Amino acid sequence: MCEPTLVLADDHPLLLKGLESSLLSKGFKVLGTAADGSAALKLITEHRPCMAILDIEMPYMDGLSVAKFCKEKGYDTKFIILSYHKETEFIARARSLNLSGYLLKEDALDEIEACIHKVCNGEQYYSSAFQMKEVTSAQTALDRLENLTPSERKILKLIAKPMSTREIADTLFISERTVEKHRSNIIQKLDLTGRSNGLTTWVLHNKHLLN
Amino acid sequence: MRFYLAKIALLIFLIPNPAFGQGVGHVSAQIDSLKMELSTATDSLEVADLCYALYRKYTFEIKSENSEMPDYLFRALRIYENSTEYGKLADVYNALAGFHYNRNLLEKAREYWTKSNLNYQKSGNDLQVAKSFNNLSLAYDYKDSLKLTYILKAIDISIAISDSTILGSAYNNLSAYYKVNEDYEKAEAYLIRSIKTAENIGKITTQQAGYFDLGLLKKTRGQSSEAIAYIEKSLTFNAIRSTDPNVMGAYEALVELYEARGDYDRAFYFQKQLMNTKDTLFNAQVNQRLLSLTSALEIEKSERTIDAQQSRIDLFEKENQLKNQRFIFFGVGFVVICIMVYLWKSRQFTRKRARLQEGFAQSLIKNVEQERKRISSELHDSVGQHLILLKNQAKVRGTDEMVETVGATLEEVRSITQDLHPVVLGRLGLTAALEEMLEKLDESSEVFFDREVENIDQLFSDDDALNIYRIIQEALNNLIKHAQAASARFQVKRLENKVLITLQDNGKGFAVEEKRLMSQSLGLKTLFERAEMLKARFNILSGQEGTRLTLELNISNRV
Repeated sequence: MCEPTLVLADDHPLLLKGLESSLLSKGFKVLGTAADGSAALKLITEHRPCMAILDIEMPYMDGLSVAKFCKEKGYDTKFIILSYHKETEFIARARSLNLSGYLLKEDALDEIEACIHKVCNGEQYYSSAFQMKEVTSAQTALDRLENLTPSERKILKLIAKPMSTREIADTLFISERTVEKHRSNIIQKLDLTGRSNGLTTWVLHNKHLLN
Repeated sequence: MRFYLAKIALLIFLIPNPAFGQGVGHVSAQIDSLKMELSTATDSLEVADLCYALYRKYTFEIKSENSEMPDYLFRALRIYENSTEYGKLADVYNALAGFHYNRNLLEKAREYWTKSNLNYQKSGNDLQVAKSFNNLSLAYDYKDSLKLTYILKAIDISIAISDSTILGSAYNNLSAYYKVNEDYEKAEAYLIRSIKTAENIGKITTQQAGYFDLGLLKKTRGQSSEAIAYIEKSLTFNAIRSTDPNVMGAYEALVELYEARGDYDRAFYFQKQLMNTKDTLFNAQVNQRLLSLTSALEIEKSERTIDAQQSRIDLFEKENQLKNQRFIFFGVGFVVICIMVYLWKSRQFTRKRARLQEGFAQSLIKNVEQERKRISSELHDSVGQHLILLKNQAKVRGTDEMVETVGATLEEVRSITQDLHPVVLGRLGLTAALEEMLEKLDESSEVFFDREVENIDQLFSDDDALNIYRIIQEALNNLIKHAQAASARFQVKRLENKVLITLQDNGKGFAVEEKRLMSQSLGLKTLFERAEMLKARFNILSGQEGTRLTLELNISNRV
């Protein structure tokens, strides 16, 4: 078991206090807490903790910016975002910054321990509420389906009608090329590469899933 | 020489109806009564008669040329010209001709005498015809053959009617003609004939002029003693005739004649006589000259007055025209200016009101946004945080039901705060916020979204970014709610100095202007209001093939 050193930052004192006491009670080593972004950055720069658990919405500097700054500086510190927000763009940003974790505050007490441990082991932990299933790990058809974007799912529905690429393009007022692009993305996400007419067959078999 | 002849001629036409021997006072009383009659006269011929009578009173009885004379003459002339009173008309013409002749205006004199002559012919008064021929001859130069013609005509007529009233005068004229043309024999013969004729009818003036001219003729021919005799004879008439126009000429000639003879006593005597007469006569002449000049002036004045009146009428008309034009011009100009000012004012007023309204709408939008942001963060900071704590506590100490309820409540609050103010916009920027919004709509709606969003972060201020976000949000909401589109295409393109955002659907479309004018369609109005705030080119094209919304934003002048 690793014993990570932690820095916590949240502008809501109640939550910060609750989180700190909860982590302390679980035996984690909290080096410091900060109520705004710049204080958090200062703490991280000073203590170089193993992990920093940051809120996004903080005065002076938001958590994502603090994390980005430290990453650019080459700090070893791993970052976990602890946020009230569920917006996909935040999560996408966290991923693009290669942050180690993203937790929703409402699930914090439940998941924080598991998250810290995972991150400690060099893995990533994204809140179960929006965790994307890896293609390889998605075993069932339904799981795979969930990996598709809304647009892809809509095209899939049209394929199931069934409609030709041309017909889909006409219906959606998009070019055939765009439809083809979506098709190939869908084929990849559903792991249907290399099979001729694979998608059409898959759709016919799993029509019931596309409500 | 001419001078004397002129005087004779003047006398000829002055003579028709001499009425000497009456007091001037008496005459002026007559003039007054004539004037009274004139002022009450109604019949035009009566007026003309009175005018002519007045003229005659002035001319022959007061013997001064009153300034009113031309007026009376012209007034009479106008009336007679339109009547059959040829004789009277001829009299007036005659008078006018004399007037002009006395002022050496020969051309006019010729014209009037000719007219006079013609009218006397019409009236059948042969004596007057003869007289006017004689007068007419005066207005011609001695070298002009017409002069001789007219004199002869006057003589012929006089003989034909056996009336020698003017015959003596005509012979005198004829003699003068021959004298000038150096036919002294004929000149002398006619002078003698003139004197004889005058003697027969007892016409003193013609006799006196005849003797004087005969004396001068003799003097010219070198017969001095005869010359002296004739001239001295002419002087004898002076006692009878009050004014002798030739008296000075007579004295001068006598002085020269006696001097030539060496009779200095006589010469000196006449010289003295000449000096005396000169003094008195000179004054008289001066006075008369003055008078004639004055009246000439009057005539000219009256003629000029007529001219001036005519030209004044023309001028007045022109001025009037000009005035009218000016009036119209200025009037129209004034009206145009008034209208322009009114239009300008009302336009300014409408503009001001529109600006005010716009400003009001825009500040309203801003305030609403601020308020939404405030409520959003308030909700997030208080209710949200407490719900987070509550959910965490429920997970430890509560039931699953409690956790679920708290979770659902939190979700609602989250969606409310998100609706109120897009947190992604503030934290991650416009591009991410737009992506976020589209992704959500893609997921929650049946519409197929084809999107292509280029990065436009850092190009707009927070307020601008929020407005862009709101415009897209409203447009997308409308699309989902009303368009019934199968698909939509959303594009954000960053060009060199502008950002082009287009949203196109294949839905049923709507009547943009109609909707916009309807007061209920607040969303659409706000859309345009926000575009206005962004100073963007905003356009909605809608038809049966769908709706196309374009938002073109200049970025060169933004921070």
